[in-house]
Amino acid sequence: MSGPLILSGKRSSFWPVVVLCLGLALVPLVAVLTKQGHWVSLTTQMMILALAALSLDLILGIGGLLSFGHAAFIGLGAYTTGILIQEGKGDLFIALPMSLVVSGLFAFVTGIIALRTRGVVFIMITLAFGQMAFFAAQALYAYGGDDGLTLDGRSTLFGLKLLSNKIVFYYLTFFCLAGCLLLLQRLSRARFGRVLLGSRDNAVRMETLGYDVFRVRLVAYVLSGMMAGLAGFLLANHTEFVSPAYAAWQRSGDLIFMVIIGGVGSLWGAVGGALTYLLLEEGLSGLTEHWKVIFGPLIIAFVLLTHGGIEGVVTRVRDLLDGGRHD
Amino acid sequence: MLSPAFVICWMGADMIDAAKIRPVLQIKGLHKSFGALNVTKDVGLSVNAGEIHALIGPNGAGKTTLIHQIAGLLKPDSGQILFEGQDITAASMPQRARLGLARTFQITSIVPSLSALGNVALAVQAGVDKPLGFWLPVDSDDSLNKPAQALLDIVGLGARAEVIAGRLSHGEKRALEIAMALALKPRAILLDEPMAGMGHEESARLTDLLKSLKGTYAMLLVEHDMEAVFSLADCVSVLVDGHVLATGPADMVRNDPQVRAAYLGDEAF
Repeated sequence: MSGPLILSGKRSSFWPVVVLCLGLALVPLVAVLTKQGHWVSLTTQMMILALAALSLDLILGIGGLLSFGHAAFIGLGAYTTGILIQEGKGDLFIALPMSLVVSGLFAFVTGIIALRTRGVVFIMITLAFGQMAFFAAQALYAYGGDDGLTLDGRSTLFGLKLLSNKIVFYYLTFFCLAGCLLLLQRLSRARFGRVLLGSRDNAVRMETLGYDVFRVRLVAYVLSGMMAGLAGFLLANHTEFVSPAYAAWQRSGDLIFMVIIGGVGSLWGAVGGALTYLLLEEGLSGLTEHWKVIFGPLIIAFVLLTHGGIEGVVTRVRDLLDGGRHD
Repeated sequence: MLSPAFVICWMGADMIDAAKIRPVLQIKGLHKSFGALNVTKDVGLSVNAGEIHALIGPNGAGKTTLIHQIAGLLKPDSGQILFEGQDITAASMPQRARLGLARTFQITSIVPSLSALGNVALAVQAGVDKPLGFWLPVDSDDSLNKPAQALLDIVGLGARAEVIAGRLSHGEKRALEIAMALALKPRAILLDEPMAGMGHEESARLTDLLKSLKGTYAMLLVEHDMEAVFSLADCVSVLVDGHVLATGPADMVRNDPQVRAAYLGDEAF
C-alpha cells in the first residue's frame, strides 16, 4: 500500500484537536505569567496564518485541488477591511461580512473558470488569478499602492475599541480558528465531505453515481476562499497594516508548505503544520540572517522523512501505543 | 423457441418504432470518430427490460468507446441514445445516472480510500434527500449504511464491509463496483468487462450473481469471457471495426459464419 489513506476510517482526530486547542487557549496565560508578552501577538499572527492554511487544506487535502493562489483571498479580506477602516466604516459588523462577501465572490467567479481545468492547468490558473489580485493591490494608489497602507487602528465593535486589547484580539482569533477547525471537521465527515473526498479520488466515478462534481468543488472552493478572507480580516486588524505582499504567490507557497508539513488532508494537521512552520521560521531567523539556507533543507527533510507530515507521525505513534498494530 | 425479447433484439430501429415496443435502452445510428479514425460506425442496438444484451468483439472494436458514449463520458458525433424513450444524447453523466443508467468500468473504478461499505454508502447517498449535508457524520448514518450493507451481502462482500476498498482483491473490487451500480436503483446497467482479470472461479461466481440480477435490470454486457456471455446473454451483438456485424439470439450469433470468421476464429464452442 502506497501513500497515506486519509480520512478513511476510524482514526479519531479528537485528541490532537483537543491538545491543539487547549495549548493555544493557554498561551496568553503562560505568556503573561512568564512575562513573555510578545508571544501573545506572535501566536495571534501564527493562528491567523494557520486559519488560512486550514482553509487551503479543505480544497487541497480533501478536495485534491492544488490552488496556488490562495493568498489572494487573504489579500482580498485584508484590503476590504483596511479600506473600510480608512473610510471610517471599520466596525466589525461591517468589515467582517464585507471581507467574507468580497473573498467569497472572488472565489465564486475564479472558481467557475479554474475548476473547469485539471492538474497543472489548475495550478497555473489559480496562480494567475492570485497574481491578478496582487497586482490589483499594487495599483491601489489611493491606498498605499506598492508600499501598502498603515491603518488608523483596528475594527471597532459598535464603536468600542475592544479589539485593540491584544488579549481580546487573541481570543477572537482563537475562536475563529477553533470554530473553523470544528466546522471543517464536521463537514469533512458529513455527506458533503465524503462526496468531495470521492471526487478527489475518482471524479469520473462520482459523476457516474450522479454527483455534480463541479458544483461540489465550487461550493468547497468558495467556502475555502471565504475562510481565507476571514484570515485576511484578522490579519489586517492584527498588523494594522495591509500590503500587496499579503496576496503574493510566495505566501500561497508558504500555505501549501504548511499543509504538507501537517499532513495533506488532515485538518488539525494543517493547523499544526502552520504553527510548526512559523515557529521554525521564528526560531531560525533569530539564529542567523542566512536562516533560509537551513530552513529550506529542513522542511524538505521533514516532509521526506515523515511520510504524511505531522499527522503521519502522530498516527504511527498511536499505532505503536495501540499495541504495534500495523496496517 | 423465440421469446418476444429474442425477436426485438434483432429488429431494426424502424421495426421497433413501428411495433410500438419501448426498450429500456435504445441506440440509433451512433457515429464517433477521433480524427480520421472512425471508432463507432452507425451503431444501433436495444436492450429490453430485464434482459442481458451482450456486446462482444475483438480488442479495438470500439466496445468501451460505445459504452462511454452511452454513459455520457464521450459525446457521439451523431446519432441518438434513448433511455426509457427519453433522448439522453446530450445529457451529462450525472444526469444519466440520476435517470437510472448505472455503469461499471473496465478498469476498476472505486474510491480507494473509503471502506467497501463507504463506497456503496456513497452510491446510496446519491439517491437520498439532501445528498450533500454539511453537518451529520456519515459514518454512523444508518439510512445509508443499512442499504449499503444489504447490497454488499448481495454481491458477496458482506463480511468485507469494513475493509478499505483499495485493499480489496481484484475480484472483490469488481463485485464492489456492481454493488455501487445497484445502489443507484438503476433501470439499466452498463457492464464493461466485469470479468476482466478474474480467475475462473471468481468469474463463475460473478456469472451466478449476474444471472440472479437478470430479470430485475436491463444490462448491456461487454465481455470477452465467452462462457459467461453465452450462459448469460439473451441477445448478442458482435462489434467489429466500430460497426455491428451481427445481432441476434446467442445461439444464432455463435453459429453465424461471418461472426466466426471475424471474431470467434477457430475457437471451439
